Amino acid sequence: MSEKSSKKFKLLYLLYAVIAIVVTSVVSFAVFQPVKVLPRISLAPGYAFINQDGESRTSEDYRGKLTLYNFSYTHCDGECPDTTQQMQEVRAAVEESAPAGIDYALVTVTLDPERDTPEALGLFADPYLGTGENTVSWDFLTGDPLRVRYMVGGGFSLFYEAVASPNSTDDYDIKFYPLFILVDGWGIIRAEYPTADLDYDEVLNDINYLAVEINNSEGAAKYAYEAAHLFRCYP
Amino acid sequence: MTHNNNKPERSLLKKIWIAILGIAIVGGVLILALIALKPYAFHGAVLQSPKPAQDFTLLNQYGQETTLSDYRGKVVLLYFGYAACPDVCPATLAELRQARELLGTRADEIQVFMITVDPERDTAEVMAEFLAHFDPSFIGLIGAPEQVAQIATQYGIFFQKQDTSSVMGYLVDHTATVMLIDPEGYSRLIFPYGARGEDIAEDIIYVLDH
Repeated sequence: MSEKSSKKFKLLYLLYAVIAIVVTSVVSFAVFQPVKVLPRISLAPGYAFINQDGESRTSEDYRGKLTLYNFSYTHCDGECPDTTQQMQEVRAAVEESAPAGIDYALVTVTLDPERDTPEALGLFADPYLGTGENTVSWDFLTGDPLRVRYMVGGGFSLFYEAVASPNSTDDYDIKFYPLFILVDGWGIIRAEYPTADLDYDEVLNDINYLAVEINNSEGAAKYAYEAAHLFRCYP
Repeated sequence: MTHNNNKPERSLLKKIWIAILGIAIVGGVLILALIALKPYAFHGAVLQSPKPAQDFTLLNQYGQETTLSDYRGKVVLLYFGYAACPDVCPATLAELRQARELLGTRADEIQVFMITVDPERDTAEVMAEFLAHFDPSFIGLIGAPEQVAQIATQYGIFFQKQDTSSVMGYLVDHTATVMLIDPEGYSRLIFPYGARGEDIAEDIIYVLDH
């Protein structure tokens, strides 16, 4: 074989290699989903409540923000799974290392709106909110008990009920399982963490995925993310 | 000798042609596959809810009981508004009317619902008169305030009465998104306020055909 023809053969192999790479990358994109996208689980509930300062807060106030919800109440102690401390940790972590250019918010919803007035929530929130300059807003919400039931029980599917307190006869506790919920700027639930021991890295990872999605939601990148959704949901 | 030298040259040329043809075929198939795989980019925000949209039964503007799940098989566009709404609701209903008109002969495959967030003032007569301005096929739905609040919460809709000195009386602030519920009864898309009728129509056609 002449040197010329062996060169042509090399070229041929190169072409085959290019085709193989293209095919492999398309297939692997479909199979391994290198672009991770969080599922768009369902609509987060709409609501109109009051925060710890007596100011109105509605679901519309969090449109365009990545919002993490948790649920607790001010009489929550002892066996009660109060996760508010962890929200504080999340806030610090987000302020330190979450992608810039995106608005983040924290919302703690009381499961005991009968006793948790805005004033009670203000006292409860005080040690967590501190006096520091925070970029991540944090509201503690209360409202009409029935509307809270619609929002938490209906919209977020968290079951909770008042049970007689073992310590006194006229007192009650709220029984519930700990839950954190991440809602995107569209008002769509993107992640649920049913745990008393939140993994901050996992939350930050999820926030990062959403941040990438937000920052790339125009043009060709939007197509890439739509494609990732397609492969994830309609295999 | 020349003959011997030419033969491999010619067969090499043939191989190159075959290779080029092969590349063209593989490339063509690949491009076609990518076009076929290319997902339709919805204008609305996509939802992948694993549960069907919450069902409800309310009275329509003719006083008849209307149940969401009776409309399986159609695309339902669900909107929350009220008759005394000064701008947002008429603008949205006008876009929905346009979307329905653009569907032409397929217009009967969709149903527009407007649930009132102002049940105190929106009686059946008021709703009938208001919706007649837009499209006679639109259904207005009326329920007890608590029932409407419960349904609205589930659909991500907030609403709140606003005190105002307007001669029209009070206004009601409300989330102005439109929900698209697919023929299987799942919430599929959310359109923001300002979504154009033609974009909504395009998404409807895609949902109907897939």
